[in-house]
Amino acid sequence: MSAVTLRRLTLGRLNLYLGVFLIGVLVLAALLSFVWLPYDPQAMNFAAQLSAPTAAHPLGTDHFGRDLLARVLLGARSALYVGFTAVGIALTVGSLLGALAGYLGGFIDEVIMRLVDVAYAFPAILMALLLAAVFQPGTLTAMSAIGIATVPIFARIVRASVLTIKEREFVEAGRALGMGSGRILLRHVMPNALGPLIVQASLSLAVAVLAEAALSFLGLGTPPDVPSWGNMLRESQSFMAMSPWPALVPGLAIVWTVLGFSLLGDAMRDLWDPRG
Amino acid sequence: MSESASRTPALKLALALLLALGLLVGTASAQDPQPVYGGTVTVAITADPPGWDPTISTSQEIPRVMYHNVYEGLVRFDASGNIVPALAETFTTSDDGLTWTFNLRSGVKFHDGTDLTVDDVIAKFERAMDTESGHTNPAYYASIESVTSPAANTVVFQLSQPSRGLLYNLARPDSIIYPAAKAETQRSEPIGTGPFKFVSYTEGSQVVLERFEDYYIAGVPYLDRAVFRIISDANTRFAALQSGDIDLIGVALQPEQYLQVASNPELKGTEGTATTEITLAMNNSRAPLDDLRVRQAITLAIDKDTIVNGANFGLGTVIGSHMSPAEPYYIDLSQTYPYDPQRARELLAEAGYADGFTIHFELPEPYQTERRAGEVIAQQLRAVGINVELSVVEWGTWIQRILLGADYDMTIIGHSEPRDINVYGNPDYYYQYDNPRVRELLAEAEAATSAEAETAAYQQIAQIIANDAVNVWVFSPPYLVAARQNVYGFWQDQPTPAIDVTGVYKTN
Amino acid sequence: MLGFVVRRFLTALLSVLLASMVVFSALLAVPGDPAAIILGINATPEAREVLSRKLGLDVPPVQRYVQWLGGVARGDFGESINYQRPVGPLIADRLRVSVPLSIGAALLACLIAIPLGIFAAVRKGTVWDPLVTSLSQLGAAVPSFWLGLLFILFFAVERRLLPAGGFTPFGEDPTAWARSLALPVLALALGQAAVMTRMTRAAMLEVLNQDFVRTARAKGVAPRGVVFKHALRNAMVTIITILGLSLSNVFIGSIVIEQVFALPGLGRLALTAIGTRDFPLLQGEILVYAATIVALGFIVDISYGLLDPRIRYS
Repeated sequence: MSAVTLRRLTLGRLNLYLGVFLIGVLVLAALLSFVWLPYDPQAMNFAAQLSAPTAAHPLGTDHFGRDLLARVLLGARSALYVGFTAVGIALTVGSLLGALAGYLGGFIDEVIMRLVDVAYAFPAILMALLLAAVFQPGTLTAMSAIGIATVPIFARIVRASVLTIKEREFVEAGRALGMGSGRILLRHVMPNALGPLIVQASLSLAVAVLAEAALSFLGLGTPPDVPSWGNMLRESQSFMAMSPWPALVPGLAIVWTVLGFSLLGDAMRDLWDPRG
Repeated sequence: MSESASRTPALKLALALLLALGLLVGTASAQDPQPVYGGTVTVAITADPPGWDPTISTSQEIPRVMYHNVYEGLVRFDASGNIVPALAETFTTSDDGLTWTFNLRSGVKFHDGTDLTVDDVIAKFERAMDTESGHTNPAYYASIESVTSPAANTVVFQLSQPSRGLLYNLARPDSIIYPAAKAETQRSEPIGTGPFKFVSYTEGSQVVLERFEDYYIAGVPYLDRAVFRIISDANTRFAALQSGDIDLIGVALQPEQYLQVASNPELKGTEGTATTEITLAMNNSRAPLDDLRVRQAITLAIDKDTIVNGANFGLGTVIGSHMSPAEPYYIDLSQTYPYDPQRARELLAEAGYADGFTIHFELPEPYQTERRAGEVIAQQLRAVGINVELSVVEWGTWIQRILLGADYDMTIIGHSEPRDINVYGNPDYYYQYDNPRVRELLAEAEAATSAEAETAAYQQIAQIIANDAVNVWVFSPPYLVAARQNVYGFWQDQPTPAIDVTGVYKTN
Repeated sequence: MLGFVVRRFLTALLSVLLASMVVFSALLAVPGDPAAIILGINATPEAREVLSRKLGLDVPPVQRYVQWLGGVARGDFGESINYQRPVGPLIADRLRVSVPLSIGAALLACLIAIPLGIFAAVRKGTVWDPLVTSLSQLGAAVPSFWLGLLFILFFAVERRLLPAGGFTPFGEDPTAWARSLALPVLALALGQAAVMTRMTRAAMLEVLNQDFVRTARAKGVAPRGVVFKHALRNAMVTIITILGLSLSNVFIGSIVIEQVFALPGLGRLALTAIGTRDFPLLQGEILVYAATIVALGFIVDISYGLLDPRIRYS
């Protein structure tokens, strides 16, 4: 094995290890938060407002004296919840739409892809604001908005995959043998699309976490007493000159998570497609 | 403190003196340097107003820029909240209080060069009295039967009943006067009589006012120009002040920002009175809030001092009813139901909620002070067993569903309209509180024949609603101003939502 | 070729129309009416009715939509309910901010990303590639609004080098204009550059690995010649996609940046329009947004068609 190849493999693996580490810690932290938290994340302590890290509060406190470590752990829960749900919805709906469009072709293909384009053309933030006004600003509307905005990407991937497969011989062969369309889809199309879908899912998770932070920052995401990183950033803005910690801690948590998901996505893409 | 004018001629003189003093001295204290003429002051405001005409929209962003600077009425508020003459030089009322005679100042010009005439005044008030015209708050002028001009430069209001509130209403931004011929274009081209004239408006960016050379009082204003820059984000606003891009913040200064001013040698700050009550509003018609004991328990469970200290950094006065210390009829009722979580639990148990209950508490999205106070309140209520579900409501929805539709459990908002305790006489108002005795007292106050009687009536109302625990009045935040060191003459109290720059000057 | 263009154009038009219908229906479902919001906390039911009539809100919604559509065809976007001014000039005013911001950020991002991406691809196997990749990974993970806040703290408050927010029109003072856009453009561009570096690198790698490149190399063509003559031309398709994508992303990302830096751009106007249920204004803005993004996609599609004949006949 040449030195170049070895180095390439090691560096490629580094991405994977780092990504797994980052996300692993995140998931563990989120799970841990169900069982144990250093403090009640809502407990206010006005004697210790905006304090820097101390033994009692390893990451400092916010403007109400609430412990930042506890809140950031709880925020992990929120981030994963919103991310996975939004991407999960987008994946399911997008795949379905993409498969239908690709397989049925013609007019239905046009209609579906036009609708998908509309969703793509519509900024997720404006969509979230509209939804927030119709229903309530909250986790649900943020998730829906992010989900809808992510559907087009998955739809395109699946549709492209379907179009590639459609013409291949083994589909013809399968048909000749009497296989139904559904089975063809499942047995041939999905595995073909699975690689790109998983890679995209990881990348979309990164985007979803960023999007949720932005929405919460604008006040359209999780409600005030559910600590999410975007929320925490929003509230910390006014106090940056008095203490940078309430702004640094959730910001770094976001970077951690987004980095983790993109590294994972890249690593998986390398695995699936070693030429790139 | 506000005063209603009485019928004695002596007060006329006093008012005239007050006017002269007020304009020359403004809010300057003895140690301030001598006023300097010239220069431009840049003031931050928070939002674009919907047009510039305060008589067709109640948005407070309009008077914030326009009041006294550009537009004036027959009378106006000075920096301390006193009612002083503006376009009317003097006025008298008849003994029965039904005829009010205003003597218009002569030689007043509008910014477009035309003269102020009695026709403009009459046209304005006829519009104000007409409920179909779209003029704001026709209720303020409901007691006026007719407005006429029997002699040159004289306007006479004939009232259907004595009204103590009318003079106050005539000082409000709604009562400003503009050329009758140009009523339709005021919203985009405001033309008034004030010391500044409107020059330009770049939407989303800034408004520019310039000195009006023909103002009827010589020597006013000091500044050549006043620029109001629109910066909607509180942090950006403050950063702009710190960097010198703007000179003054006279609205929505956050308490934590005010505290930073003290440690910044380039800035100075003032803390004065405002007419805002941060009110935890309860839907009195909805269970379990329809039970007095539950409302009392909620009041008892709230530690207002902690809220002021913890959520507002010690800036604010704890109150006990719907009035701020700036109101003339203010009495301290904060001890009506003082902090006592133990007693709160007992009352809840008495009312049948020993295990607490679930309640939806909705916070208005744009208002940070209310949101912070709300979060602390939620914690305090949870401590006595009430399960509070917090949510944030977008402003348009808040107005539609909560204010107009009264479809809510609990919410919190700052009521900053001065003298608005009369809302407790409206059973359809979003508090859903119906008390005929309050309506009787409101009518008494309106028809009272002396300031003392009026005050007594209002104080009785305040006591009744406090005892009934209609809402929880948490605290009254002060009026906070931050400015560069070389800016003087700005209002330190806020009797009306206006950033009056007529007395402002800048040294070098 | 012409058929291709026409087809693409028609579908683009349809997308925009659909977008406007979706928005209109959504707004209808939303509680809150513009008259009440204008009146604010002092709104009474009577005052609301009077104002509603004045604003023409008592006309049935479908009729209003059709009227609006007719107006647009004539170039009249109606009047904003909240600002009580014509929508067209309002939006044009805001475009003065959003367009330089978006284009500036997209250009800066490209200027950083494309050379870096090509560099990383060409230097694959050395230490430079993972270095650039890691840097761009990190850069993409940082929220742009957080970056913006940190910039304000660092450059404006601590050091007074640049303004903390607000916007000066170019006509008024070109230097101040540039200074007021410097930090927002930077905050927006850096995050975008990070994302685009990775895409450029991936595109270059794909091209570099293709057979004709290997053949050229085998034939003895100098490495640089290979890169610029063959690889780059073929990577153009992807680069154009990237440019188009980055413009769209930046256009959208500018909404939050406008909030942070208090810039009077389209994004803030849209947020206000939704908050005040300003139908005509919002409709106009959505039209602009959708049209821009669809137009960008259209241009990208056409460029594909020009560059790669195979695509024209799909």
